[in-house]
Amino acid sequence: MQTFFQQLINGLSLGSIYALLALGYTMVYGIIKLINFAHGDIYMIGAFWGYYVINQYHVDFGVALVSSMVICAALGMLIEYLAYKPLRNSPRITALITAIGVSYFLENGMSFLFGANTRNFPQVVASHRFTVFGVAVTNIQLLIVTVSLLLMVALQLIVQHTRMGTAMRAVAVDQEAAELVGINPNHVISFTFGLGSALAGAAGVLIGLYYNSIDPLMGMVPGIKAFVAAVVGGIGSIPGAALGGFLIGILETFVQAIGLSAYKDAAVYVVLIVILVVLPAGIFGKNVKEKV
Amino acid sequence: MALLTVTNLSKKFGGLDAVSNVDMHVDDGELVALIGPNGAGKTTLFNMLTGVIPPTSGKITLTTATGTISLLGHKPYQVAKLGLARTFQNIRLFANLSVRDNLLAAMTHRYTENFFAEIFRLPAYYKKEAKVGAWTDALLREFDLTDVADYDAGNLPYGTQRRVEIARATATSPRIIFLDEPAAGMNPEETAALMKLIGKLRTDFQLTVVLIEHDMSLVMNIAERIYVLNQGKLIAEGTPNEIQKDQAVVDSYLGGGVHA
Repeated sequence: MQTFFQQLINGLSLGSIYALLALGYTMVYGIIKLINFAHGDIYMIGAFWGYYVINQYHVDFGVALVSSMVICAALGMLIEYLAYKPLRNSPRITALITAIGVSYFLENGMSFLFGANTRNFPQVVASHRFTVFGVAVTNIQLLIVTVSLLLMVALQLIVQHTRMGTAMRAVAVDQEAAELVGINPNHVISFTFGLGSALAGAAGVLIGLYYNSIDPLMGMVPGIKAFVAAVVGGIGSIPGAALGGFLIGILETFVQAIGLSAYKDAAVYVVLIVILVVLPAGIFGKNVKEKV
Repeated sequence: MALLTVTNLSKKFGGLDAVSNVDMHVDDGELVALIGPNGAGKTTLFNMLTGVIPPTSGKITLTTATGTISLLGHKPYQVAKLGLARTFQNIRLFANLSVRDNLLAAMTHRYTENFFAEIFRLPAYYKKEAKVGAWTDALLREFDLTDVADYDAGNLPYGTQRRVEIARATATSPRIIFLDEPAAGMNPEETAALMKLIGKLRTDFQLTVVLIEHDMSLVMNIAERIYVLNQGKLIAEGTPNEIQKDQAVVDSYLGGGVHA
């Protein structure tokens, strides 16, 4: 039982990272029906930015986190403007392939400019371990879960209670009707990329702190797992992505805990296959009627 | 004064002349109806007027306070900002948004406050929010939607959804509202209520109304001027009385026994 709770704590920490990433996938998909495969690489850039400002300017965790979110938001919007906007009226597959291209560009660009080696992320928050009812928890784990939950609440408030959030939801339902009531879809799409990328940037700094190592390819696997999380939760659904992220994180940790470390990635993909067969729309997804 | 002027407007889809050489004008405050058989090009005309599809040739101009401007080359959201709003033949609400949010979405362009003022709830936010709130409440009241304001628009009865759609178009603060078959699928009572509502758009909201409709009793009752479109061409223009006597219109559309 103790092991169970121990692994649950570990799973929640990892799961919050996946959840933050999955939110970006799901929001972008909700608005322009694009699986943004470069999303995991934004998270990598976020981690590198955190590494850079902490080492170079000796800023504290809060500054690293917020600045990384701002940088990643700007980068996400720039990528959307340069790579996806010109393809707005192209077939969806074109934008999808472009997203994969952007992903390779970011990974290899970073390797080229800064080297492909793994670096130690500066431990800007000293790690303390304490034991509650026999379960070991570190302050970093608490920090990760708390920051993630706060960001998710903030996201929910933005989407539900700001004018831009209302416009986002409107464009997600019917872009043409939204345009005809005066909503500029380009602003909304750009804003959505900014919001999703900011969350990815935060996740990058948090994972750096948690795993202590970063490299230019670090975004690939978490990116795919977060995508799985978004699909499991029901792609396009914001609560679904959050729940999916936690589920995938917990699953992965438990598979590791029972001694199947080698199969932890496989387990995630098995879940994806099962979900696609049994519940193709995901947990919170709706079977959306095709518009005529 | 002509608010909207359409000159020699045509739209070809491949070899099909969906709309050809249409000239029409809509005066400020007028209620104009556009009638004609199915496939006559009425909705295509609406789509061109609201910027959804570009015309093959011709001109559309709008008279504004600062002069006459061409609507061509404007994106739909820009056309909406210029004061043209519309509803759809098949209702297109933001189905999983509440009725209130449907209206709020339509006000985005009038009240785009600074996002940071909004996030951090600065005084600038509250100032604008009071205005937006009052305008929303007024619309909900005027369109008899106060009781369903927090319901998802997609779950409402058909007639109510039609009202929400007209309210949403009105929320953009337009000068002209284009209604595409607003009475489609309505029973006689609902149609009567709709007629009142359209009257209200003109008296209470000072809107100019352009209407596509197949319900001839509705059209003949409320329209001041009627344009008749057949196979993409304008075949008649006039008051309801004149249109009912027009032989070409009777032959192509109205048929023998129409009584308003």
